[in-house]
Amino acid sequence: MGNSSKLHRLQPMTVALVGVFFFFAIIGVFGLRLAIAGLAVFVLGAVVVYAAFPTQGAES
Amino acid sequence: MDLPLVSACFLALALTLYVILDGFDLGVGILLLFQPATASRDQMVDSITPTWDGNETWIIMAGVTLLAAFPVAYSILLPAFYLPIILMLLALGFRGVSFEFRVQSKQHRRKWDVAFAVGSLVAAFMQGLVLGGLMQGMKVQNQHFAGSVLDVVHPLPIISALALPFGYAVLGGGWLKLKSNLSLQTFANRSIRVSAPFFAILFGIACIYAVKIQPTIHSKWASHGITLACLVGLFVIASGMLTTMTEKTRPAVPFLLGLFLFVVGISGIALIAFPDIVPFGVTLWEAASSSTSQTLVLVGAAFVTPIVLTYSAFAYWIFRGKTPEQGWEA
Amino acid sequence: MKLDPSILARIQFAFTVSFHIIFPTMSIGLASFLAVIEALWLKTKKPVYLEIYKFWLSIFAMGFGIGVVTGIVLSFEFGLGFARFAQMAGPAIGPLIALEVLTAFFLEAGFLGIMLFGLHRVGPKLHFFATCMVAIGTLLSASWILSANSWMQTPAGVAIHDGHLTVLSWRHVLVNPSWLYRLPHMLTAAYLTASFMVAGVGAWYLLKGKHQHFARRTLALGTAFGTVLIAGQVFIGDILYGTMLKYQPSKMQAAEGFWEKQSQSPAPYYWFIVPDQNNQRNRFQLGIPYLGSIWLTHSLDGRVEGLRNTPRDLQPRMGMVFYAFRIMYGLAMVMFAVGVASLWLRFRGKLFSSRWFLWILVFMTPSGIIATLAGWYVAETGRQPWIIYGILRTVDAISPVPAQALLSTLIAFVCVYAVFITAFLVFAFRIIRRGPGEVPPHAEASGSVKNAFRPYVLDSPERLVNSNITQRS
Repeated sequence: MGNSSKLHRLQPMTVALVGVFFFFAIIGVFGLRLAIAGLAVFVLGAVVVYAAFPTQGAES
Repeated sequence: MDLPLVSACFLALALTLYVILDGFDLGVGILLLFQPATASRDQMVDSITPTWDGNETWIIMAGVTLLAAFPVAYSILLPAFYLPIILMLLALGFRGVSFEFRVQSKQHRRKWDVAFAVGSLVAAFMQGLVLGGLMQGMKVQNQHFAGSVLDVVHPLPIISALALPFGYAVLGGGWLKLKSNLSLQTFANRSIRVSAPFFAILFGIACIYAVKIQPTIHSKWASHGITLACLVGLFVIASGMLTTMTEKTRPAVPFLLGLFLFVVGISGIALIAFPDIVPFGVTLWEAASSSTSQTLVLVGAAFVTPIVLTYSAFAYWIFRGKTPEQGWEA
Repeated sequence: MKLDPSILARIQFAFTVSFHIIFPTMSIGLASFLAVIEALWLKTKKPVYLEIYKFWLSIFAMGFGIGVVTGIVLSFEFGLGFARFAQMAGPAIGPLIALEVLTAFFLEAGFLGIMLFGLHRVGPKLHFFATCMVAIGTLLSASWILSANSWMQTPAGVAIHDGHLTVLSWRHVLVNPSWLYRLPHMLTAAYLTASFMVAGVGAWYLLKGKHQHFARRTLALGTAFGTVLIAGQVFIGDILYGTMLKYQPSKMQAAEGFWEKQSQSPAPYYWFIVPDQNNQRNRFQLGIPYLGSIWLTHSLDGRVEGLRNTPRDLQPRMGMVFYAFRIMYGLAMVMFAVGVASLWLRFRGKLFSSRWFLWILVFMTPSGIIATLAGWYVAETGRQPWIIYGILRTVDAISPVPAQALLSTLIAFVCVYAVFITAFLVFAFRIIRRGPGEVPPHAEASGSVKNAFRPYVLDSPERLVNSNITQRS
């Protein structure tokens, strides 16, 4: 139980870090190519989430 | 091709369309002040609700054409009529938002109707003020306005400011006669019969006064007397017909007569002003921008105006016939 | 007291244009949102979509109306307050705005009546067409006016002779150096505004436990669009930043809060400064170390160019530009975080039940509007002292109108616009409190083009019942 709750608390932090990384990439800190790539991956990832995890109460 | 002349024609077209189309919108608004029954007022506003926005857009077209094709005139005329134009814009603002706001509240609807009506009246008054101010002429120095913003507070502008609301009331009454059913017909008829003579008389006084105080207008009468006299004659006849209309008059006739009245009046004014765009010292050609700018506006206008007129007419067609008594939502 | 006409003219224009921009920003976003919703309704025939459409249509209608009337003011205000600017720039931007009126304003106006009042007069397909036309109209409108404003920022395609402008190339006037970057930035801002508005209202209903089906759909749609849009927006924003750095270096110098010609290395990213323009320094400054170099020079030790690189009489006011930029950028970061959070919560299946997130969405409802306003303040105050960058100064552009006239009309504008926005907010909140209405049982899409052109009235046209009953899910 202790482990899973620690893991649980780690998840939002990981998400936050990933988010920050994407933000830095998209605003061009690592160069233009990584900015475009970062944007593409982010948007595609979002679309995948929308498709794979439909919200409750939503129609199919 | 004489580009400034063509541009001036397009400008005149835009202004004419505005005056006619928003004329009856503003007229209906003004008439609200004299309609005590809430349901009737609802109907009156409903009759102009679906199409008012497009009508009002023609004044933007006119203003922007002036900016694009005659920037010198734009930069003289707008400061010259600073006060009436701003008051007009605020009044049009109140009229515009009242369309949306009045339906949101049953208990305050009357207040919004007053805002609607007063906005319409003030807008019409200010437009008349500008018209009279144009006929009065203004001080220009080095292609810049050199007079005072209070120059419009003079008899000629004030008389024409009083005249124009009556003219719009004629148009509004004509529109109501077309669009309303039995309950508003008497009201519409009465509005026309009362407004038409006031419009004609006040407009006549303004014309006479204009001849007296503005030498250019005097000389225009001297050189184009016959044409102007004919226009006056047509104006008088049309006003007479409107004043003596009855319930038996066919529904479309008063509205068309009202339109005719305005077209005649505008023609006369155009004849008097030409070739100046800033009466009475700056000609079209002096105020015009370079041909590249004129060309773009005219080419765009030539292509797009017919399309605009078509789908605007379509919108009117969709909402044709009598305005439903229970409104558009039911 | 001697009043300065040029300051008054600027304050008046700033006030009227700031007020105005709130409404087209909402309208552009909501119009496209409504088109999407109506398409979903026509396709799925689910009544919840008609509910969403009708609910947001009423708010859209109010906002659109205010946008129109406050916009008319602006088309005349060029001449009223800035006649010398109008005389000079008229040949260049006049035709652009004329084309805006012809292709956009008339389009919106022509079909708006059908969109707002024609649900019972025309078939569903024609109505949907009308909605789309209005949405396209708002898009075209934004495009033209952004081109005109971008031309003021990065003028091109003209020759100046004796104070008179001649257009040499319309292609260069229209597609001036900054237009193609600023346009997607503004459009995305509008769509973001609508996304957060829609999501925020949905979140509010979920917190109150009302209109569940409506709320879940709008929250889901709002956050879905918003997440993708904010990612695009910060990308576009960074590219635009680079463009403006090239064409208006003084603006970006003012935006970052550095005074020295070359800042220290590594450079911090300032979040709070107390600038002292007269002495060309900050009395106080607070920032995050290293982040300035990282974000602004894409390296760990780069130096940032400060405002002293611009001659004093050509400098914009740092305080305004800096804080406007920070507000816009700060909100963008919060939006991005909200987007990431929404993705995570979807993954965990907790999008509708995380109350902390719902509250954040509620507070973020007006975020798009605030960010857009802030961005425009960067654009316009950062362009100073120029009204046409590099060509005409603002002080040389004003009308021969006395200060008293400017002041009295400014007061009039403030009073009248205060009435407009109060009424808008009162009625919008009332609409939100009442909630979406029930849709008449016979409201279905017939989907036939033939029927679309026959005006018809829905069977048993019951008036929409405005009620607080929770929509059965």
